[in-house]
Amino acid sequence: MNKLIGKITFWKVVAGLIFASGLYATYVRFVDGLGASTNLSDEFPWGLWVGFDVITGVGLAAGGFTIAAMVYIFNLKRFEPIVRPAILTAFLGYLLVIVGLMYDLGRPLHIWHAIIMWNPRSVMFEVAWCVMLYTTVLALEFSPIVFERLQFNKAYKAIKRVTIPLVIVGVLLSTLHQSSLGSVYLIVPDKLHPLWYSPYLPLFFYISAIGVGCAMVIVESFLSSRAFHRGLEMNLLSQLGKISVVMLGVYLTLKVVDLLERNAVSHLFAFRYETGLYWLEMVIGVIVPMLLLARKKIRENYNGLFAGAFLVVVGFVLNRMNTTITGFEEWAGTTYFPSWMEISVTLSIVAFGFVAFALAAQYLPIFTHEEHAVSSPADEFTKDLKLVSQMP
Amino acid sequence: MVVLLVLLTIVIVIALQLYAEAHRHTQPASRLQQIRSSVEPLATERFIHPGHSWVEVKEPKLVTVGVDDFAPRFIGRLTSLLLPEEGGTVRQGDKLAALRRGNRVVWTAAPVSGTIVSVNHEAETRPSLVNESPYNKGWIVRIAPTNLRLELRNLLRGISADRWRDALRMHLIQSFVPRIGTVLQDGGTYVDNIGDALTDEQWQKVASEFFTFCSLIDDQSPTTLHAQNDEEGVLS
Amino acid sequence: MIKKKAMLIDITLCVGCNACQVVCKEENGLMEGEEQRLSATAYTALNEYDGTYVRRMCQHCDDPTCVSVCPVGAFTKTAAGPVLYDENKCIGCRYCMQACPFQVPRYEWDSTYPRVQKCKFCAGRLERGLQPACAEACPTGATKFGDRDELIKEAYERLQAEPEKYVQKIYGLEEVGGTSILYISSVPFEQLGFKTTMSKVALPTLTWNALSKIPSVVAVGGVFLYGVWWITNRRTEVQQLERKLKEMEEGSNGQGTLN
Repeated sequence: MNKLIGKITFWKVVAGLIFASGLYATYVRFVDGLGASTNLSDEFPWGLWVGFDVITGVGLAAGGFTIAAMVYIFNLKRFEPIVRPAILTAFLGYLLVIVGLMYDLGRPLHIWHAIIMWNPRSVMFEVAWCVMLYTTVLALEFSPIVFERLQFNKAYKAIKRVTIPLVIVGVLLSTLHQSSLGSVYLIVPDKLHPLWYSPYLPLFFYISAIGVGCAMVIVESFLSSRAFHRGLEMNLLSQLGKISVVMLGVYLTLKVVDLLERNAVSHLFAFRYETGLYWLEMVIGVIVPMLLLARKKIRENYNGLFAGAFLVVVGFVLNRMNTTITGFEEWAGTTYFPSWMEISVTLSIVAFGFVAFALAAQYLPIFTHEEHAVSSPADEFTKDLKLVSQMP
Repeated sequence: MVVLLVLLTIVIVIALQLYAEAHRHTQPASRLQQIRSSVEPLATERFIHPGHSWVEVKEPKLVTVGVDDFAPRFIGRLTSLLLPEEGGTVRQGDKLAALRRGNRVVWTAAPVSGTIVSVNHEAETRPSLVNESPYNKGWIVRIAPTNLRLELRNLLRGISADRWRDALRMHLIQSFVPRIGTVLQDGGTYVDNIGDALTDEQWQKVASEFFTFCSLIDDQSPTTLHAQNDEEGVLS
Repeated sequence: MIKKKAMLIDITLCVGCNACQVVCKEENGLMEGEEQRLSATAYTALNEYDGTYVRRMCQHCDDPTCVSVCPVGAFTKTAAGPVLYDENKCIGCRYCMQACPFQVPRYEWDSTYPRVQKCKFCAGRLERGLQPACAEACPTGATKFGDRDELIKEAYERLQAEPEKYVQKIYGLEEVGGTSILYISSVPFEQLGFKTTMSKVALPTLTWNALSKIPSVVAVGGVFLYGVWWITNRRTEVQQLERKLKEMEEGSNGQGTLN
């Protein structure tokens, strides 16, 4: 615990303030309703909670299935050390998405309706099922870590035996719902601004999710290496950076092809608010990080890799926010800006994610997994370490 | 607008983090954590030899070797750095380079066996480079290893290496606290030039706990250093 | 078989008396008071454009977007035409509101147990053989209820009878695959707040194109992933086996020299 206390005192204060305001907003949301707590309206029925907490959140958690597929399906065993943090991130991510959803749904207690009241023609129905099933898969993929900690050896072995089927199911489910989050917007060809509406939306969402999945794993590794003073698998991470660049390249190419196909290129140069934000998203999130990460020297540099991956994540968030919010403002004829309560709930959820990750890393064998392989003189010194930490 | 809000939030968080980092030293914080925060994390595929050296393997035919951050911190700002000659051979665990401050010298061990292909002349002429950037610009030699695969197994990496570094620091504190406790409390300056607070005799005692090879020399000329190096390995 | 019902709204006949809204509120037990825009308490409303009044309401599409997007099937399209909402199923995701091309569904934002609200085409009255309250109340016949086919015929007749008066278009005939509310007007529709660039295909086909690929994605994807795993795994197995064989060979060689 020494590691955590003190160092983030400042951030603890910030987190405390966020949680306090989030708690109040939660009270208002559930006691007075959506109208009292949000700036949503009939013109703008989906705001920050759907756009960020749910749609962006699911995308950012894509690292889980990407890394799991790489290690278990494509047998790239060298990526094994980052499987656990990636799964943890994904699992927490999906849990938080569900939390976010509970805030946003008008009748959260009816959430289970999707299980028994089917409408297979609805994209949302498919997303709901995939998210539900994939969260279960993630829980199962995560469970060996808990079993290892509790030394439930039988359960550990049992779950390990079904790893491959689990991963395959997980990858399929992710493929389906990551792309389907794009399909959600296929139904609004007239409402969504032509810079973002495209018949390829599902493909865009899927490819960018893989790209950002890799980038998130990099960012998350850097943050945790700073927080927990552990080593960094730079080698692995820069390979991930490479994959991310490839995905960004495919994404950019498709985006250009799509604009040409739809004769929408002129929108790129219209002097409009949407155009500016579109360029912001593409430059920050796609072009600059591609230029950075495509260069070996930068990719293999500590700060370079982090900067590149971080930009990918930022750009991804911008893209999702643009698609879900900016793109609708022209049609709706109004602008939407979240209320402070929407913001504080979102911040609380993000902060909660950080805290949960830190706690999990503290008490579960997330990073220490690879240690078993190497026994070293350091063990002896670790004892000293304990002694010293007990000193007054 | 929301996009800008999100962007702004991210920027604010980064700014706060940078601000907090810049002011961390002035904040009251635990000793342990002060020490920790002053250490740059280990990156890349770097292997650590307990004799205070590292080897970075980018290609198996030519590896880069350097000194860990502990040794230069322990001895303080280097006044001279003695490197082996190009073309010579070393064995894993042998004395590789001498770090010297005044009359105090510690030796780091060669992390792998092989032929010295080149040495860092820049660091030789400006030894403080090793203090400033032990893992980058302050590298020492490039070696063409002879038995890399096998020898790497003797080295530490990843978490083990980090643990080792942590443990070293803790061990050092443990050895120093009774002697120079005040230095530690006054703001985490222990890491650099810690030895200056000690008498030669004390220094010798502590140094021998952390270095297989260390010595005090009377004469300050580098030739003596060479001579001592050649004729006798362990001086303690 | 039940004939598909519709309403023809002749914008040229509307005088803006608001009787439709008044009786609508009465029929549906909604809060009284005139409203200029659709809301959770106004299923229909009159928008004024320079002296021309346009009735807004649910269009009761033939292939309704709301019916297709609702994850729990809270919306249904009845054979007679009305698109109905079941509040007991609704989970409140508001995808219907986001997706509706006419931006019709309204939400009870102030409620903690909110419902989606929109025109019900007086489905209860239709069952009893009556016409919708608004059509019945309309003093000028601007809103006319009837069978869809016949109303289309009538609309064409009106357009042809006075070609210089009417814009030669029936709005709702093929917008998003056709709707149950048909408009004719003397003022170009785009000047009256209508979206005239709307797609002619029903919007649910757009998402269905993507959704219908799921079975093949699952099948092909599953086989592909399993195949990749089998190959990569097999390769490692073979390598391990070879290594073992090699070791055994070396072992037996060693023994051989000893002997």
